[in-house]
Amino acid sequence: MDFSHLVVIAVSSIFINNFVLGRFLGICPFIGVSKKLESAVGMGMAVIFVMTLASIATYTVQKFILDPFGIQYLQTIAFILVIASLVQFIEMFMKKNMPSLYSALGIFLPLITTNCAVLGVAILNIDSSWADGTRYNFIESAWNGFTGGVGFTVALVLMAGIRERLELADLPESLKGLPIAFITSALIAMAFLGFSGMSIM
Amino acid sequence: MSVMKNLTKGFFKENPVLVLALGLCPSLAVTTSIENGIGMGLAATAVLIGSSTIISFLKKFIPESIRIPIFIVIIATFVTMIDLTLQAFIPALSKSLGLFIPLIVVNCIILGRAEAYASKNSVFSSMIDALGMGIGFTIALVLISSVREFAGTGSLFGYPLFQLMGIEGFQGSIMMILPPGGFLTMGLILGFMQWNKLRKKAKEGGR
Amino acid sequence: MGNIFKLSAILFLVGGIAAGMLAFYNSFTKPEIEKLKAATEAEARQYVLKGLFPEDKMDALIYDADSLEIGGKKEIFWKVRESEQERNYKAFVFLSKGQGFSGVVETMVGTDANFRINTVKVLKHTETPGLGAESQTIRYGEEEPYFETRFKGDDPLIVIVEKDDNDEFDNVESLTGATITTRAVCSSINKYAAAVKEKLSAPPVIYVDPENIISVEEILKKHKEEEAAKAEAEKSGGAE
Repeated sequence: MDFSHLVVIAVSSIFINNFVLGRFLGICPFIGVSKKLESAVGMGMAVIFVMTLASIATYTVQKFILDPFGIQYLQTIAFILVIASLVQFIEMFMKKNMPSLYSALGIFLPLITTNCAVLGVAILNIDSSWADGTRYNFIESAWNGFTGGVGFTVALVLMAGIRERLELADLPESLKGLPIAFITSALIAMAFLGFSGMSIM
Repeated sequence: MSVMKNLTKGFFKENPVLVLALGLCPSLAVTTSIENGIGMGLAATAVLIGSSTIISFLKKFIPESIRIPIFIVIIATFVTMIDLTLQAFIPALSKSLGLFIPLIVVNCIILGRAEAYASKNSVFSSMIDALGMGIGFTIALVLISSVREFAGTGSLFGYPLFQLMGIEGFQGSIMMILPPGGFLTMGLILGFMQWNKLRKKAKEGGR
Repeated sequence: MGNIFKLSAILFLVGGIAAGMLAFYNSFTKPEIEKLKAATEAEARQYVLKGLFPEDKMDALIYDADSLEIGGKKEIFWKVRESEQERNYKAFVFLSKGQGFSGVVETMVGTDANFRINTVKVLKHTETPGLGAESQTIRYGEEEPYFETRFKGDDPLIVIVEKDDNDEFDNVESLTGATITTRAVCSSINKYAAAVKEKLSAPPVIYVDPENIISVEEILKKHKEEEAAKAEAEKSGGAE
């Protein structure tokens, strides 16, 4: 169990290569759901949940179905179907067994199917490799999904906090709404750029 | 509506990126150069036309309740074909677009058009609509990437403009090619469009 | 219940058709992709040797592969000679890999017979466009990536980024804003060059199979027969 690998993945996915601010994955919900802090937290939690489970499920599919049969070209179809079904099952399961959680997160789940971050992390887990050429193993992939979701939530919560205050600010009419949201993201992304070059290996 | 109107509505009035706010992820990620922007635009247009056509063709046979998964399978098939084609015949583009080629399958534009238009209209008009939306997407990508490439490196499409004109010393701000530049460019373009809209409204209101 | 069955059947049918179509399409593109991969590597090897051999001989070079051991894994490098008849190696090629800023950077290195760098070519990387990715950029009006020219003539065992230098090493000017990438390329070249040098100076390993020990005379006889057969083949081949 290589704990240093896990630390590297965590720091990388949350700060250095943040999924939203560094990799541009998950922008639609990032802009769409970041107006209120509570909905941002709710969406974030849902995304962490789905990204972790999706990483586990897609890694399994790759290792036991796609690789052994040499049908890697079916990766896109297989992964997106796995993710879509996964989200469907989670929604049904939550509705029946965890109604309180469902009322908090349930509405976000259908949005997550088309979230680039989920499919993105699934593919990244398979494509990434360490310096010596080894690929991510099962634990590292699941952890990458989890920390990727955490990074997404961090960015989302930051955005929501700022946007709630921007509602009260005196902005030029033409910048209100989407434009100022993007400009704010630019500033946050600039701040996160400061993490690049952090020597963690 | 007329064929011409169907085609051109996607260019500006209902531009998928700038007006409908769909497909934001690739718009920011691959617009580091005009070449990449055009490449992604054409790839997405190909997928869009292919999937809209097939979905419209099969719309009578697709059961209502499982239509979304079936749309996704059809779109994913086209995406995989484009991905394999690029890998085999235009490897440079495949490398620069990287992860975002398979991510075309979750591009909201494609699923959105399938749901909103292709599943309800004839094959021919779905094709035209898809072509128009694809061109609109490409226009938006070219717009964003020209700003980013020029401000970031001082060149357009690989040609260093200032150097060619004999003016040395323009370095460009690398920040524009990095993520903050993407967000900033998008914000400024959207701000400009909003300003334009408000100005038009004010003019009409004043009359 | 029956409805779910029908729906799943339709979904499976669509999925099956899609998979079938893709399998068909894949059979077209797979050989192309593999051809491309092989061609790229062969092209890169030839590229880093440019100038060392006359133009017309470049396509007929013989690359003898040998193995390296780096960090417990087996890597490959090539000893290059001009033709089948030529026994002396005039150049060496190796592919060094190192962890850059956001992923592995692969650099193909070509050296001359004195183990000095002829040129390098950064083949694969996932570095940032405008920063580390500049390692592959060809400036407008120039013919080769400017990053590569910084390595020419250096001793691959001691290339180092300019700012890390302490006068004992061969300097390489760093890419603007991409010191990490430059360091990665330099240190990977150092590491792999050292391994190649070690392999080249190591005495050849002769494996003696205890089951099949034949006498020295027999070995010499077999060798003489092989040489004679080769000379025959060359004579008849030369007559064609």
